[in-house]
Amino acid sequence: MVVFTEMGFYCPQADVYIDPLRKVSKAIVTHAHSDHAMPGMGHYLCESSGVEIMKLRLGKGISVQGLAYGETIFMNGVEIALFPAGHVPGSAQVRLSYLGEVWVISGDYKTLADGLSPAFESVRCHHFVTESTFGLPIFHWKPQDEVFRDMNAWWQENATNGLTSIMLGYSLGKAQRIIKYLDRGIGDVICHSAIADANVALESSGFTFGSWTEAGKAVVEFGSELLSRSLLICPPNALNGPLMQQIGKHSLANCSGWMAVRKSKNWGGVDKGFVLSDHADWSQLLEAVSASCAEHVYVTHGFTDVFSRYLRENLSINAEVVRVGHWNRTEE
Amino acid sequence: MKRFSLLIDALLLLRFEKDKQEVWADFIRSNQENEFYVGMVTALLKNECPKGVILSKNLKLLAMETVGIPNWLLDESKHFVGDMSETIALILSPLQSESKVDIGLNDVLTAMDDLRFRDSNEICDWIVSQWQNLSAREIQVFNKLVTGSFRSPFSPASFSDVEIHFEPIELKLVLLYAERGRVDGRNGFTEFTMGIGSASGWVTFSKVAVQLAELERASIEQWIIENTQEKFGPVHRLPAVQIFTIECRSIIESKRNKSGYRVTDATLISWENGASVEQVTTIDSLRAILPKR
Repeated sequence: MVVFTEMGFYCPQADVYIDPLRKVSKAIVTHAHSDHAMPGMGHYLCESSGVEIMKLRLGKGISVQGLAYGETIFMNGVEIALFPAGHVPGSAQVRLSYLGEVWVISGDYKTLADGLSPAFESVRCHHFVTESTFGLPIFHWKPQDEVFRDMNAWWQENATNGLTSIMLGYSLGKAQRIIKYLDRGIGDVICHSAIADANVALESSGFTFGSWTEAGKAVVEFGSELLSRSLLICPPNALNGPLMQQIGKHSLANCSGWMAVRKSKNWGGVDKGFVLSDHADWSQLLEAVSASCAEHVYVTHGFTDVFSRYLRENLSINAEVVRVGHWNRTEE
Repeated sequence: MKRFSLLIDALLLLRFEKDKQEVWADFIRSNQENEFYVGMVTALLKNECPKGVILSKNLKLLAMETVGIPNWLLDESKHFVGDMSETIALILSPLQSESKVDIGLNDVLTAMDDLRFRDSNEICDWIVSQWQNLSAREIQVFNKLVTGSFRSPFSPASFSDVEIHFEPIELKLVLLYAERGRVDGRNGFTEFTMGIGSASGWVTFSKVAVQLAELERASIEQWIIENTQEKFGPVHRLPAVQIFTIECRSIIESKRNKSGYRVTDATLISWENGASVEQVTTIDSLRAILPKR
């Protein structure tokens, strides 16, 4: 029912692509990260709470339809429903069902609830498409309470030493997850403009994550004392922008699953690393595959060869690697 | 192990020698009340590490058995991580118990000393039990220590620049044995075995090379010859009368030594001619100043 093409996952019966990589007429998008939601499609379908963020990223003028979790629509006899993927706000797994055969394309996901996005729901199916961004047994996430406790302690220490804290995090999902759990008793939360824009779109869709101030405003209005007790969240690609000069003395941290490994290229000169990811770790991937009860598992993104081999050889699961287009970058 | 692994981790993440030295200076400042601990860490950072108690390939097998993952998967993981000690540490992280027991660096070094000649099952059991009580970053360092592959994150020239920050440990010890050898082209005494006080009398504690001014040397050699109680080849047994001040960099627990301790870099400082044996350091007084766990 689903085929793997250069353009992305395609369902010929419904004539719809899932997360297509090139311009097509109908696209179902699992979430608004740039490697999944690409510009130029005729019509988009995404989870209802993701509509605003899709418009922010792809333009107000796109043709986009929202479908709430659990609701169904039919496309030429194919039943289509979306289920929470727990990855970022508005992220969904796509369930396609036709003549008794069920496929689930899970997009990016994590099974542990983060309190921001609706928690992952496992969906039974015959064919399960899974990511494997962190598909090695070296990746084991700690409970997020522990990570945020460490993060707030780091912030407090910087505030005491008169250093502004700067945290790198992608602007959709990771940033809001961090903002939600920062301890406002320490200081103010400042957001880079790209993150501020995403915040506004998500707040208008009903997501809440506490108080924050846009960076341009904070730099003008906050005194140096207030600024030194603040935490600025900034996308990794904005690190060398003019904002940094205005901030002054600071401590820089990165927040990503890759921080679990000490290879210097992941660290890129930051002072501190927090291991926090919106993707499934090794045991969550295994848990999701097992809970799907799927007879066929297709592995895409990340350590595809290793993860599919482990499923085949050690768990006797009928798993194979699928290469769709040229995904080689994952936004976290 | 926690403090030590935090230090090593911080050092490994820094690229510039100057930044590393700053971290090291901070470490010394915050541990200055504990000279013994700093001494032990200094020795490790100077690459004066004990020999391993397990081969790297056997440690890898032990990790595979413990977690139940196949060889190829561990190799793939190592390929990504770049370091086997770190790979094993990361793979073991789901094993860690909630109620961890704190394990000191000194405990690890002492146990290694003790286990070195035991059978491999006993060593493996010990390693697995330690794994369960250590965090991933501690295990990474622990794996390096037990395989004898720990390497200082400092380059040599510049580490010795910052090493001068703390005082050596001074002990008063009693001369128990003197060994003959060649001194400046003539026969003389080259090495003293020094003793420490214990509840059951004097026990040997440390050997030191004899470095004394010429007059003092002649005088002590004369005394040795006149007071020798027994000879074993070149070694003269002596009555516990002569006291010397000895300096060392660190004192480490060691079950293989009679006193229960070994010292690093022991140097003879001075002959306390005429001092009373009551001034000699005892094991009890040593214990009072040993590292806090």
